[in-house]
Amino acid sequence: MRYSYFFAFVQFLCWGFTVSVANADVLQKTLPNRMRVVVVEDHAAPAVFIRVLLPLGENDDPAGRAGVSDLTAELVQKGAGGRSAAEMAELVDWMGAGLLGYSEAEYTVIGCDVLAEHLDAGLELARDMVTAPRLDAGEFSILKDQAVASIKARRSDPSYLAAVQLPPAVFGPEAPQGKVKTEESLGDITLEDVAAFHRHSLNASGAIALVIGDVDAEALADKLAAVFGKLPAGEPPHIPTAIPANRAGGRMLQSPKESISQTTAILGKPGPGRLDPDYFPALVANYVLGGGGFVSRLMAALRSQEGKTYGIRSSISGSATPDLFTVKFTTRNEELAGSLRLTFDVMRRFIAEGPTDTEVSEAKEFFKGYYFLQTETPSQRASKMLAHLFYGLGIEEMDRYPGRIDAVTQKAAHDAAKRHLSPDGLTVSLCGPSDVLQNAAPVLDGIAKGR
Amino acid sequence: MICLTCQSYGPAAAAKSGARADGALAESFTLGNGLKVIVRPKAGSPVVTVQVWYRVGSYHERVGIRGIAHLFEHMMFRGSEHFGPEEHSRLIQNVGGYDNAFTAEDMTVYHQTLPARHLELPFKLEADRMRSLKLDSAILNTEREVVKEEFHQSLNNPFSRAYLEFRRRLFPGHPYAWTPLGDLEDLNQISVQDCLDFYNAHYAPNHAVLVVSGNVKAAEVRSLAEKYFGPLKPSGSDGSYGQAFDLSTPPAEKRIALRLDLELPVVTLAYHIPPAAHEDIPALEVLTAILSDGESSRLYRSMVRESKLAVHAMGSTILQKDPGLYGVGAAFLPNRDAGEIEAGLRREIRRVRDDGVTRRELEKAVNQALAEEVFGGYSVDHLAHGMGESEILEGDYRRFETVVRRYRSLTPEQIRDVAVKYLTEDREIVLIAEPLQTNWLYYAAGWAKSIADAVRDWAARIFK
Repeated sequence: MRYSYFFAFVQFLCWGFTVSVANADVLQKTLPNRMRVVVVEDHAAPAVFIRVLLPLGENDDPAGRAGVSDLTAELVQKGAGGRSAAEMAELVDWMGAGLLGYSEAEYTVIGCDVLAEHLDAGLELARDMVTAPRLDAGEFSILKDQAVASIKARRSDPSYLAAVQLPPAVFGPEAPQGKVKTEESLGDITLEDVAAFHRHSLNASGAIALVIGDVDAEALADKLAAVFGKLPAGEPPHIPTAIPANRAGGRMLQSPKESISQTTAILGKPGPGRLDPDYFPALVANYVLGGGGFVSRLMAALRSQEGKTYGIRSSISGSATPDLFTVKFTTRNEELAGSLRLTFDVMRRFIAEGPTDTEVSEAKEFFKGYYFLQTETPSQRASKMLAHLFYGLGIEEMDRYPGRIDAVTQKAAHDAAKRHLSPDGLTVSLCGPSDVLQNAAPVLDGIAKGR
Repeated sequence: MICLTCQSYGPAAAAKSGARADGALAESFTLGNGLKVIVRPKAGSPVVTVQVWYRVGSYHERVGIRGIAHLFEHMMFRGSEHFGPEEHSRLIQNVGGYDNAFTAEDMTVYHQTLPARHLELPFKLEADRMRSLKLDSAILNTEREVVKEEFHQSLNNPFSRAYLEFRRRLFPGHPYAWTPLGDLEDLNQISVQDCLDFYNAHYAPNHAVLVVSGNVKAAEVRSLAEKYFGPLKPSGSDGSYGQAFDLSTPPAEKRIALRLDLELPVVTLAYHIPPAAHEDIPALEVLTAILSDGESSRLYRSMVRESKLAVHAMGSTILQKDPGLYGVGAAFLPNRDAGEIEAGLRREIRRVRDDGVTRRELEKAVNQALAEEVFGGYSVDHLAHGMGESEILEGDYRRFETVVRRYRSLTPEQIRDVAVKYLTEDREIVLIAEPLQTNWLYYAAGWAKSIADAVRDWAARIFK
């Protein structure tokens, strides 16, 4: 009898069900180890998109070693199972396939895009990358050099220099959101760090295998269950949702770079995450303030009316873990003071008046329509589905999204703006010539005092 | 304020019959006023993209108005007869769409992607600004400042600065010597009259190509094109190219080395190649794939994985209406010697010239092109862009749909032949972008790491 009950329990856990989402049938299964398997048939073209989400991401990088998650996602593609890095590359290029590995704030995605005729090879590659990466020392060395090179290249860009000093100052360098990859942090990472990160990421409780493409859903779900059913069960991941305090509120951060004719300014402070009740109202409000490109208030004031900048944009993070709300622009050095004053003026006026009914209505129409553009390709849909599933919103969130946007009222958008998008307590990060940065300090002081 | 009145061109002349090759998914027709329309239906797609490709870019500028094509791209968002400043973008965004524009050497392109049910909106907007743009000195002066900001942004990035300088010296005496960013002095001098002359000469249906891709039917597109663009009058200017670039002359400069405020040096070997429509271009493109597409490519294997000289290896075929550029390059940490990188790149080019390529390498390149066609086919923007670019640069949008077929018809001998013909040492130009200062400490650390890597590789082979 005990056997029968156990068997029934396993059957229950393995039970697959199909729902219709975004006009497509989605087959979902939960394996006995709690890993979720999702398959969506899409026969528009002979291609298959395989994704495996593992529940460990950038926010889980060890202290002082930011970059471990990225290096792990890269290294698993350089030799796995019975194939060396060179053999794997030859197979992938021969098939015209593409491997992928990247880390988001809370998770890592490993996958493969293949033509349908190469489905079995694609599944084998995905399985090997997830369960049997070689973690080769020679490839690790190349990847570290590439990561360092990438930082060296980006350091030529003033926008990068302004951006990179903001997270550790606002959140603290040890906080999940405060970690930033540097040459030093990359230099300290060992192959053992990568191996440990990979080992810990094999946690079926938060893991998801998702395939979209020209496949037979039932048959493929069985194959995925066989491939990933043996991952260790682990504990469900925890996502912090409280917005941390700004540890550098009102401060100016300087990154001097001489002999450049422009200064880049990034204004930032902690903002709401994807699971915050204010997320959708804040999204709509941010569109009106500076997220809406040419139709936003900041762009209209600084670019279209004054010609002070090529562009200005504000944004809030889409990750569940609360991250930065930012406003960013680049302007010629002599216009920095005026641009900062105008930016703060526009933001203050926006917080005082709130968005108009028309602005809110236009923003809502934008987001509802833009969702079609964001979900045009299977690869885009896979990214959204994985995020919805991982955040516990369910794959049905794909269909609920327009309703959530529609539910935002002018008052809710204004309230959310007051709570999250106000210029009070912003940290201002600047990259430009030293004398320009020095002159900016009294300007910001004056702005803070309302002068 | 000057309003360029929308001039009616009588009743829409009957559209010329469309062309559709066997197996092709796109078709085209031409309105009586000369506007060519390309339609690539994609049933089931939730979105549609509408792009207007003008046959004008920085190539059509002269000294004194360098940068006007790009400046004009900005002006096109500042209002026309029936729509106010930025209203084009606002209306597109209000339905969840996205619009933008870009200027290149041979083209200026306005594009919008939006939910398929709003197909008519971009026709209305694009037709209005094609012949009835509003221009005045206030708008010109504001956009001039914005464009100058964009220029400065580029100058403040050493890689962009290097690109501007390389182009200047790679195409001396030719309009390709400057990019669409133009020239700061010229930008300061461009007048409203210059803008009017430029607009009247180039912004007309007979100098444009309308490309539509998405969940549409060709008949529906034809009807909208006739309704909105049909009444527009063509321009008298032929919009033709004035200057040619002589490929047979050896390059004036064989080595262009720049020291810049950067930390990641790059070496490139560049060669002039024929115009985009030339029959040798497919073989050159396949050679690029063999040399640099993917980690099994020749350059990645030799420069990165095996010798560890470089951190990145790349190849590109820059296609232009007039002669373009072929380039192979590598980025490397400053603990390596630029001379070694240069020699390594040259060795790989010579190997192609001497020994050719294998049939398997050719087949692999074809497989990659086929897969790219399948994966790219999911995006209507990708489809429209590919066809627009082929139409402007190669003179026939159908070439975009026949890439795989043309690659399949190639032989390894043809690949070698184009290397022998174009990638020769007398045509080679070495481009170097390196840091202002050498950090000797870093160099020493890199040398020590090289030894450690060699020992580890040796040990791995011994204890395998």
